[in-house]
Amino acid sequence: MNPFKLFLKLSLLQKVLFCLATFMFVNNIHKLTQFPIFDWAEINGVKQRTKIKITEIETDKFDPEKINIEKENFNTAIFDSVSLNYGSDKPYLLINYHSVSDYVFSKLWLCKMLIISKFIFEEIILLLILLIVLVVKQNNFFSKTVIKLLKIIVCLLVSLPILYFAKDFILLSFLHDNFKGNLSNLGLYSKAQNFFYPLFFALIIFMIIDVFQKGINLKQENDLTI
Amino acid sequence: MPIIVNLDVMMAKRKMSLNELSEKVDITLSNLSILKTGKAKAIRFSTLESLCKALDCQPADILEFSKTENK
Repeated sequence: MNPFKLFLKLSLLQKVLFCLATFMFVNNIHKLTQFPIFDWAEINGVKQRTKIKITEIETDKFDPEKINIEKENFNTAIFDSVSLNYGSDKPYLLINYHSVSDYVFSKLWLCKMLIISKFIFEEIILLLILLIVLVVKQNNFFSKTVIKLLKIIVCLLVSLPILYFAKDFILLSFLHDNFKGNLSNLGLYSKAQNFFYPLFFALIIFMIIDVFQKGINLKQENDLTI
Repeated sequence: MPIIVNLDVMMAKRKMSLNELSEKVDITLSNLSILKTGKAKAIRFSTLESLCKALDCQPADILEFSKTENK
């Protein structure tokens, strides 16, 4: 099997798995909270969609009588009791939450979109590398097409850290708005290498573009020498 | 470029076609065309020598320097 194709396939698989893992993490972020977040809650024995705002919790352990739940009128139904499932192994305290599905462009949705776009950008970079290999295989090593493709790769590589930063910023903002507790040790934020490597490779490719440009000039001069 | 190639003038003087010249000099038609239209960036001494031989002329008859030409 062609090692290049194998590398591409493995890289694609790794990226799909990583994207899924990150996506699942953002999707299940409510599991970190002491109280599960439901779009649906059991109100007066009937499951229905609701908005729950927990404003005050006196003890670490959940006791429905000791928490003050602001009840909101939803679908014109006024309710007296709210039953929530409770998991004791969730160390982070939810102080305020508005249902994600209440508004489409919520911070979590933005986070998900950024993760997906980061994944798409990385895949585009891989495809562009494949395209460059194909162009080079046609004996057009010093061609303007290669330079164009390399320039697109540089743009995508530079935009990757911006996406990482935006994702981190939005996630941090969401967590600060909704959670109380030490969030720095959760490993939610991008590592420094995620910012460094794309910029480093962009710089290298930028230098390669310069070399290619000079190569094209030399080739053109050679072609026009009779 | 301020260097003007007067290959077409010499060819007309010698009443030689491009095909005929390319056969004599052993240069492809496309390369001769590049030379004739002034798109060429450089010319080898060997090419110049064979052109001069084929057209029975001096290099100065083919190449000319012009100060005013700024193409």
